[in-house]
Amino acid sequence: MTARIADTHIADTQMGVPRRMAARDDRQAEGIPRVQPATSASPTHAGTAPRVEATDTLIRFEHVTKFFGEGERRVHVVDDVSFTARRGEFISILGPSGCGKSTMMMLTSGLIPVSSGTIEIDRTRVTAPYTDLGIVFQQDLLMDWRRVLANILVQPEFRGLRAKDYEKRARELLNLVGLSGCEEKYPFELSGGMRQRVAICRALVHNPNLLLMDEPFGALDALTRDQMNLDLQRIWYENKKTVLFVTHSIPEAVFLGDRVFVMAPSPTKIRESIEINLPRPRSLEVRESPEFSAHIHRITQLFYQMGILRS
Amino acid sequence: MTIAGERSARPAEGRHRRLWEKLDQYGVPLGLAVALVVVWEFGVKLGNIPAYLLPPPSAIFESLVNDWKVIYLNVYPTLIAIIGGFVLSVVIGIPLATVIVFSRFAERMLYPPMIASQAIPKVAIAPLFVVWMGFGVMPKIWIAFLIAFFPVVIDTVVGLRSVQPEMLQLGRSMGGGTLRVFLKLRLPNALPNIFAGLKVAIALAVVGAITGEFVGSQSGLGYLLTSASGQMDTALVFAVLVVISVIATLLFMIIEAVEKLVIPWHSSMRSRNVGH
Repeated sequence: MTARIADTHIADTQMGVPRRMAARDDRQAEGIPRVQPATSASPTHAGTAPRVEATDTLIRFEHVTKFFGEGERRVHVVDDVSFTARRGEFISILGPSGCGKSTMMMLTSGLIPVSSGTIEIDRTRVTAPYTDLGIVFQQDLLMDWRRVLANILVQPEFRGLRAKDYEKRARELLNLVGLSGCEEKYPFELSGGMRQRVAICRALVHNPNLLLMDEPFGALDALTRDQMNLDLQRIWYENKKTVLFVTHSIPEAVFLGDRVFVMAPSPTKIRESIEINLPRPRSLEVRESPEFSAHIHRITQLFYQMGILRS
Repeated sequence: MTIAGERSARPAEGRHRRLWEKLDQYGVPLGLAVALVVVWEFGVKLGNIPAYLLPPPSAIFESLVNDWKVIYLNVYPTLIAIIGGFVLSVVIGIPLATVIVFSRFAERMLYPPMIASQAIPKVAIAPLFVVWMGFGVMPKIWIAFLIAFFPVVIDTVVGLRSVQPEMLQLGRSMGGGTLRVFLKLRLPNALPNIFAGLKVAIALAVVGAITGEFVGSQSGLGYLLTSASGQMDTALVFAVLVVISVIATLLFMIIEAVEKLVIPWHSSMRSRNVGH
C-alpha cells in the first residue's frame, strides 16, 4: 500500500506539474472570464453554471459512520456521511466548533479508521494512513528547531525521499506565498500568518493530489485571514489540488468553496450541500455582491433551523 | 556641525549603554560577593571567632595558595568521578526514559525502583559500593550516577511526552514510521527538557562524586575534605569547598554553552537577547 503510493507519488512529482499547468491553460483558453456576473438565479441549485472541471472523482465517502469509545461511553461522532469530491474541487466543510469536522479529516487521511462505511480516494479504499496528501492544521505545527526551508523539506524527509530534489519546489512555493528571503529564518522569527504560509508550503511541496485543511486560519487576526483567503485561492488555482477545507466561518466557506457542506452537529452529518457559482478568481469585493449575501443568508437560516444560532 | 556632532555622539551613547548593561550584568553580583567577603573578614576579626570554627576569607585564600598542590592533585580523581557519573546518567537515563515513554509496562516496572533509589541516602550505600567494587574510582562514578540520572530520566520523559498529538498525526500523514517520528519529532522536541535535566544532573554528579569519596577513599576532593576536617584545618576545608564550587560552576557553564549551540531556537535561549 505504502509502496504503491510512494511510486505514484514520484511519478506525480515528475509529471504532475506540467499536466496541471496544462489544465489551467485550458481553463483560461476556454474563456472563463476573470470577472463574470453570476448567472444562476438560486444559489442552491447545483450544476447549473457553465463550469470547466475535471470530471473524475477523487474522493468518495459512502455511508461513513464513526464512533469513539466502547459500550455506554460510546460517542457517535460522524453519522452516515456520503459525498463525492471531484478532482480539483474546493470543498468547504462548515459547522460549529467541535462538531466532528476534524474527525472527518482524520478519517479521510486514514489516520483513524471508519466504524462503518467506506472511503475511497483515487478508487482505492482507505484502510491505512493515506499519504498522497498534505495536511494543514489550525496550529502551524512548524518544528521550532528547523529553519523555514528545512521545515518544508521535512515532508520528503519523512517519506524517505531525497530532500535535495524538492528544494527547488520548496523555494518556488515560498516565493508563491510571498516568503522568499525567509528560507533561513527560524519559525520564532515569523508572524502567525507567515508561519501558517510555511505550513501550507510544507503541505504542498510533494505535490499531493489532496489538501486537507482543518481550520487553518482560525488562529489568525481578521485582516491576515482575508489575505490568507486570497492567497489560498491563488495557490489552489495555480496548483489545482482537491481541497477539503474545514471552517466555522460562513463567509470564509462561501468565499473559498466550489461547494459548501453545511454540517449538522453531534453526530456530524451533511445537512446541505450548496453549490457556490461565484466566478473565479474571487476578489474580496465579491463579499458585497447580492449572490454572496444570498448564500450567507441561506446558510445562516440553516443554522437557525438547526438551533446552532438562536435569535 | 550640530548634526555631525549628534551623529558622533550616538555611537558613544550606545557604548555607554552597553557598558552600563555589562555593569548591570556582572557588576552587581561581583559587588555583592565583595561585600560579603568584607563583612565576613571583619566580622570574624571583630567577633574574635577562632579560625577552626570559621576562618576569615584571607586565611582561606592563604590555604588555597599554600596547599594548591595537594588540592590540584586531588581535583583529577574527583573530576573523573563527576564526568563518569554524568556520562553514565546520560547514556543510561535517556534510553531508560525512551522505554518508559513507549511502554506502560516498563513505566510501572521502572518507576518504583527508581524512586526508591532516590530515597535511599547515598552515604548509607557508599560503603556497599566499596565492598562490591573496591577502593578505586568505580564506586564514586556509580554513586555520582545514582544521584544524577534521576532528573535526566524525569525531564526526558516529560520532554518526549510533551509533543503535540497533532504533530504526531502530521508525522504519520507524511508517511513517517515510529523510528522516524521519534528521531525527527519527539527527540528534538524534548531537547529543551533534556538540557534542563542535564543541568541539574551535572550539579548532582558533583555532590555524588564527593559523597562517594567520603567513604573508603585515599584521593579526591571529598577525601581531602574529610581528612582536613579531621585535622581541624578548617581553612583547607573552606578552600576545597571553594574549588568544588568553581568546578561545579564551570561544568554547568559548559553544559549551558552546548545547550546554546544545540537549541538556539528555544525561547529559554532567546530571552537572553531581549532588546536585539
